[in-house]
Amino acid sequence: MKRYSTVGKVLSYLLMISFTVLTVVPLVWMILSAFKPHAEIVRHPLMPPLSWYFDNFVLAWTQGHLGIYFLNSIFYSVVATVVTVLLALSGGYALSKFFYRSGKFIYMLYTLGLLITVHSVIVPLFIMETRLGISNTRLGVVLPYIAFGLPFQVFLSTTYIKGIPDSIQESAIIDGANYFQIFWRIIIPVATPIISTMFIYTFLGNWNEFILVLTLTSELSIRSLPVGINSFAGGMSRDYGLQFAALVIGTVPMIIFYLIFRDKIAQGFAAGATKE
Amino acid sequence: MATVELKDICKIYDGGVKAVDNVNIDIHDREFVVLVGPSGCGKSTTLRMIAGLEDITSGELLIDGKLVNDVPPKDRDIAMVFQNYALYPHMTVYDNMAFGLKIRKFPKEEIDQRVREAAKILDIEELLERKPKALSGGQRQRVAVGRAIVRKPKVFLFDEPLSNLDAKLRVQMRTEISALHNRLKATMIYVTHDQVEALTMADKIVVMKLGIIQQIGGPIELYNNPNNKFVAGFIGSPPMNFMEMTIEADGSDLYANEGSFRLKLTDVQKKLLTPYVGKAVTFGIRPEDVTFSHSPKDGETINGQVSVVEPLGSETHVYVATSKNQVVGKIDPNVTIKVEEKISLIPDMAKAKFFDLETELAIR
Repeated sequence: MKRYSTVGKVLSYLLMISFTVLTVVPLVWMILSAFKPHAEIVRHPLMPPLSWYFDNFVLAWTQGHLGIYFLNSIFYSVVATVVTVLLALSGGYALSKFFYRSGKFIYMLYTLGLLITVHSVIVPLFIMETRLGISNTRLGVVLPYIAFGLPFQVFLSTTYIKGIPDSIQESAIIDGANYFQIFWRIIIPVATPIISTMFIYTFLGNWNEFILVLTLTSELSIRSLPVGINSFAGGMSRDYGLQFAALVIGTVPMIIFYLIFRDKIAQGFAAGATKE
Repeated sequence: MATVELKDICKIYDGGVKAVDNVNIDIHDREFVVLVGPSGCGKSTTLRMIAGLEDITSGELLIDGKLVNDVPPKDRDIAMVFQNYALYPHMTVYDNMAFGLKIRKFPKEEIDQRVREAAKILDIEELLERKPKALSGGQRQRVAVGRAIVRKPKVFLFDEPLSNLDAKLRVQMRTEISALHNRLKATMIYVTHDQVEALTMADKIVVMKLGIIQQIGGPIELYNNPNNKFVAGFIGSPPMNFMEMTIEADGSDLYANEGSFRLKLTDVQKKLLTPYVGKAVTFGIRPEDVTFSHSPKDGETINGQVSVVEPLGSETHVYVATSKNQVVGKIDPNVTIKVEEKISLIPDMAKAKFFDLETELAIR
């Protein structure tokens, strides 16, 4: 029995180490390559840089217009995330604490949204936005972000808020609070762990989103980082150094973001699972 | 303070489930009323209707003579203490107690004064800056009560506030709530499934079963004169012993015959039970109304074999199996009784109760 558990432990460690290597090595390789000129990458793809070549970053930032893409990414991510989380929280509150007869049906509709992929609706979405006159606008990007973000966020918030005892709301009602005050002063503070998770999850998703911006926008001034970085690939010229530098510019903020908030992410999911 | 009147109150849920059926209760100013009954008897639903947390299907609810059926909870001037305390987990004890007053836009100084006054009464002054998770069950309960006190409401509602506490703490808090009632001289409505809480705290007890009021009365009245078999069995611990017995005449006397023994009825009982001669009735005797004997006597003793002995220190509960029933008696703890011993219990027939077998109503 002991032998079996030791073997099991070794196997599981091997599996985890392999997975970590598979994830971390490309990341490290990308970061190191960003500091190598194109010729050196082609000649010695797996070697660390002979000297630290920073020009890739300067060129990528200026030639690739990453500054404006960066700002656009921040705008789309922040606005869409704030609106998505607020709507999902208020929806989750209503669906879990108001006991409407139609509540279950509406909740089902939301969760059905989880099954719809961006690719399956991208063409009708493009046509619709063109007819509405919002294609190629920031609003035209933010609205689908919110729509695609809502199903999972409503699912998360409804599940969590359902776990908050009804008596807390009833107690606040007797204390004289109206529903808005209960939502703002009781539900939101109590749901902080899940709100952190919702924010982080939605923000990461929006930051990395590619296909919607690529399809729904054509003007450089309103495109985001993933599309900007993609423009380094293909075309007539190919500079791997620039591509890697652009990728690092796009990825590093998210890695820092994750490192800062990783505890919150774990707490949020754990709290959702074990709420009394 | 205030009066509360419930007139023909009914609660029917979607699907036709009748949770509360035609409830009529008059609660006087400063009265401590306990709604008691088993799970699903409608006591909590009744309380929640008084609080305004449940709609009233039909009937009238008056607080201080004013119809409040459609008045929202915040305007009923009531405060409620919940079973699970329902404290706001992200707020300190102080903020929990102050929340209702802040929402009602009381001046800061008054809020502070009221919170500190309530904290002093409940002896939780040193806990004011703590969060609920840093409190014990008893402390949380005190905070929940404090949150009600600061509002100085017309009516206090308690929904099984002690059921999450351990036995010792429950007894302590019971006394504290009773003392609080005496101090505040407030109208209080208290829901519990624990008949001991009801008997020890209430001025008036409302016993409910399946949404219907079985009896309303003072603790001693319910104990001594139960309306029916349910109330007789619900009030008192251990519960009243019930046996199906046939009323028979023997000469000028009447007896209740169990099969293996018979008991002679008193003159009062004779008058009441004459119409039942030849019929079966339910005989009831409380465990504390029997005494122990070694010698069986026809017409005077319940005879059987000891099945269980429970020494409790101050008294001993002895379970005696007759030919058809089991009878429990509270006896002197100094008497030595062994399991399987054949003994007799002498019931105090003046305190015995008889219930109609079909209607289960007391024959009186």
